[in-house]
Amino acid sequence: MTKTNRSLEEIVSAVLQVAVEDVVDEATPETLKSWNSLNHVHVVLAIEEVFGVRFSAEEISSVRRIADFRRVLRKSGITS
Amino acid sequence: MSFLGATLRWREISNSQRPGQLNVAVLASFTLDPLVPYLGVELDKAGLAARISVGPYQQIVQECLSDRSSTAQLAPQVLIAWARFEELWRGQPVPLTDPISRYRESAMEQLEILIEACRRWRSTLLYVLPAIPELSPLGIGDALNPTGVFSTATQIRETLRTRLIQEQGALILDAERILRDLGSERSYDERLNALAHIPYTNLFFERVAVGLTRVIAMDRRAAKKVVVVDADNTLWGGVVGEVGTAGIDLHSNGPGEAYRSFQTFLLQLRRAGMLLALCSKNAEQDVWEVFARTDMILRREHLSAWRINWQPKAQNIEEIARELGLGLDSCVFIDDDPVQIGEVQRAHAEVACLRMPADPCNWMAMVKDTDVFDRFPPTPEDGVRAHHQDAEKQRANLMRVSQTLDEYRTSLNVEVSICPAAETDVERLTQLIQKTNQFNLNCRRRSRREVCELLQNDRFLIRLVRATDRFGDYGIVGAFVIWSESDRATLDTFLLSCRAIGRGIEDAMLACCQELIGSPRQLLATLEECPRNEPARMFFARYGLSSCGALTRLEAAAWPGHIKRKLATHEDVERGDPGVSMRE
Repeated sequence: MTKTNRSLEEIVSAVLQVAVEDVVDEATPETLKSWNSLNHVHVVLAIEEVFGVRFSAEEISSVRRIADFRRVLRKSGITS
Repeated sequence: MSFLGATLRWREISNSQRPGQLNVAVLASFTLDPLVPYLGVELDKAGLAARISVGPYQQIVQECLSDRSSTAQLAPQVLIAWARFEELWRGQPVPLTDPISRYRESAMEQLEILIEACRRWRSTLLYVLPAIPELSPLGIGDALNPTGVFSTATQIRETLRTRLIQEQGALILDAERILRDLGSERSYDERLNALAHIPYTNLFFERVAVGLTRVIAMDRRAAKKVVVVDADNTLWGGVVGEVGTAGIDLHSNGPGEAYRSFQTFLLQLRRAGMLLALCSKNAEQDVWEVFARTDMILRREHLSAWRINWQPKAQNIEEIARELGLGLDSCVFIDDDPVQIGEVQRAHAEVACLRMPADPCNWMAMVKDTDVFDRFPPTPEDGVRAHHQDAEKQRANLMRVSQTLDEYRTSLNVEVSICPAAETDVERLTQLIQKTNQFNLNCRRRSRREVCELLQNDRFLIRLVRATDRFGDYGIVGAFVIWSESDRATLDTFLLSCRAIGRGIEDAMLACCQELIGSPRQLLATLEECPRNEPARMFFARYGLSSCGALTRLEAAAWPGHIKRKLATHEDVERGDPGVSMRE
């Protein structure tokens, strides 16, 4: 299990420029307005770097809400 | 730097709203938004606070054709354009048997549109020369195909490069160079390309940002002028004071060979226009004995200055700079000893210091990763700069034997010709404008693009000054620019290279300015105080400009009697206006 200084919520909050409290499991591009397709890639780039993982294209496009990031991270053995 | 780190830092920089921002626009054939934070951070590190806007994806031509496009509205100072072959060739089969012209046209058409837009918007074009695509239907057999992917892309790249070089002021970053450094595995990201048309990795974008910043900085700053090297364990293996001349390692098999190849590199720098100097803590005799060895590649005559003594190196470097008439910010210092480097860096933060690696075989990494050797291709003046230093020594000898300053000046047999600047002079004129510190009216710096604009504006009278004397040709050593109005004329720029100061050439230049504008028009100028332009201030004080910052009329100057006015050569006349140099 990998430990990092930043939590998933903190990374998403930093890239999307939203409050950490708003980054809840149920949050989606509809509830977080800055979560557009380009920022989606930026969030992925940041998560991959911080947790030292690499998602497949399918995993990246399967993410529809914050909980999905947690799910794909778990597949790489990371509890976020 | 991580992508997240760069993103946060860039946000911080963007929000700080510092003045003097460089306006940069980026147009590409793919999504390159991840480049922006890296580029912003790198430019900031280089002291170039920037605003960066990315144009709509895949809209290079559309953005450039209209002066109402979002990119045009920004009036960018620098336009970065990056079209990959993969997108340029989209919709047609990859090169296999068709003639190269089929692929070349789209790239060249797009480049012409970019060049035209940059002329209209007065932007500096920074073109990213696209990397060679990696995929070929022939696999390794592509190498045997003269109309294959590699061959076609290579030939188009050279056509693009040739065209860009003709366009004064345009800049190039070669994506192939970065790809080669990093390797394709670490450069391409096919996942992100499929998902978001982002073909490259973060790491690649980070390196591109460094490269773009280096090109922009190279365009806006003076190149370094002298490399000061240590001797023991930098030029050769071992300490001569301990092992003696014979014990020094310069053997052709082993680490000695690495020192020899480093010496060869120093000679390449010299050919490119840099001066070489030596700074060593040793007995002078010992060092020259090593230089006399036949396996030394660097010879004593290649050195323009040296200090071999036990003084602190910071002091020696200061003396070397003074002897060569250069500022400390023009100096690069290379030493293997971190203590020496630390001392020099503490005393002179403006000296660029490089540490020779403990294993000399790694010297190439030291010079490859640094920007201190970045410079434009040499002008004719660069190629002969080191010879100028030799002539300078002969002049110093003449000065010693002359009874008076007048006698010295007369015996130099100086000849001066002053000609209008042509398009082909842009490189040298820009170099003079960017580098001249001591004899400079106002140290007004201009980029190559700005110099091109000057040349296209008839209201500016621009003249270049060429001088020779009995010891050699100084080349183009000076320039002046006059802003000409119907009732008066203002000196915009007036500069002379430090190696030509004090011979009356400056008086000849001023006399020429006044002839050019013709009476009764007055010649005005505002003298500015700049860090090292005391020689210029002293000179202009003689012609009535006693205080800085005020627009003042210049008193009449006369062409000095000891300077011969050289007729313009046939070549000068060919270039257009024979100018004042024809008038005897």
